Amino acid sequence: MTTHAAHPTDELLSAHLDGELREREARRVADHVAVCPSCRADLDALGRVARALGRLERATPPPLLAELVERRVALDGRRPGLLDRLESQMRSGPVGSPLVVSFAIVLTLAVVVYVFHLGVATVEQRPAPPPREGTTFEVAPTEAARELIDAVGVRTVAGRDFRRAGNGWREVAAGDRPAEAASAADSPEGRALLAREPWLTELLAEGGAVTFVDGERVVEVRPAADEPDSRTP
Amino acid sequence: MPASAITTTAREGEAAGPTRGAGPSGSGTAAWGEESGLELAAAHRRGDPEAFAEVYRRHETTVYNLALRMAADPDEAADLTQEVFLRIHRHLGKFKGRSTLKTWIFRVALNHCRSRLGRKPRPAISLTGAEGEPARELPDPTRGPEERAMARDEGRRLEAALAALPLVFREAVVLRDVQGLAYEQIAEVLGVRIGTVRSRIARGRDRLRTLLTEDPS
Repeated sequence: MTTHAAHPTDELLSAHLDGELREREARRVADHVAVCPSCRADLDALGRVARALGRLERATPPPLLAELVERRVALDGRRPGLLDRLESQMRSGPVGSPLVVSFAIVLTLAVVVYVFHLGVATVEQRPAPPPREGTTFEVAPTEAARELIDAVGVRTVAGRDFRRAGNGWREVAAGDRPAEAASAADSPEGRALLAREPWLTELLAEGGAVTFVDGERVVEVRPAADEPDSRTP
Repeated sequence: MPASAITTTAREGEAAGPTRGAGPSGSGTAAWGEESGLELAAAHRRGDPEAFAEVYRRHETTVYNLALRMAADPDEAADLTQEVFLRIHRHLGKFKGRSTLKTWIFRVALNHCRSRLGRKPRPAISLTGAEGEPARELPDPTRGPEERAMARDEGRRLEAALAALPLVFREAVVLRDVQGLAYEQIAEVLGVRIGTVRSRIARGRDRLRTLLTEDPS
């Protein structure tokens, strides 16, 4: 089936089947089909497809469909969509309302952008928080806190990490190095250390000795004599 | 936007009386004539819930069947039908009568089906017979007992073949051969020229014929 002069195209055969050709064209196709078994077969095949489609059973909508539609319509009636509302405003507004609505949209976007930038600027201008010296457990030395610290294993005070050592604390940086000097908190050396490293007070208040790196040395500070020290019964 | 009264109104297929006040809801509102798209639209704009109910009553089965043939899935067809009538409810008031209401509804329905189904890949559907037999020449049930026997699975195979057609051919063939629209109406619904309609229908039928006659093995 190449040209209309030789054989009608499928398109012509199909339209002829539907009675959608002009009279002269329809007569030409009919004359050709009457003498051309190939085109007649094609026309029959197209006809069978069309008739079969026409015989497809007309399905009955599900029984609840009407109710579902009614519900959705009712729900939709209560909450018209933004586009519908805009469209409705455009239709019901004064002359030139599309321009007004467009202007409103542009204005809204401008406000949003302005507010966004304002927010960014505010955040940028906010004073920075003071630098932290280290992460410190801000918990009271209750039993629960002790358990928590024990579970975590490491306690950080004034930027120094400490591990449990008996009833006291040993700075992680000290490793296993033995203390090269030891003093009581109420001795002159101890008081000097406490004055220089006030964070020691917090650890010593728990009753145990504190071993830490002091410059090049590892030193140990024990609680004052009137404070309990579990290591020295 | 008026509420609707579709579940209290007569279902499709029941006679719509030519006089007013015949609604089963007993609301004393209108029953419209066949060529009353503009009246229905005007009544809908006025907030008469019976207008949309009447549109639903007249076109529920048509829209559902169109959706079913386009989607090839009853659940999806039901969803599509709901969404289509939601759109119709939103926009019925804007119907200007430039086409018939039926054509307008087909256009709304097909646009929605296109937007929903166009994003989905076409399902791979077997065209083999119920017992796994390969598809054969489409039978003509008027020929005799043998042909009639061959035609038992015709509907199922045809539905599968239809679902395998590209959307543009499927909608043209469905509008023509399933819904029975004339080429001019199809051109209006699809928003294309009559020549395009003619081409799409021919190509759709030809592809269906090929699909139905090829041996899937």
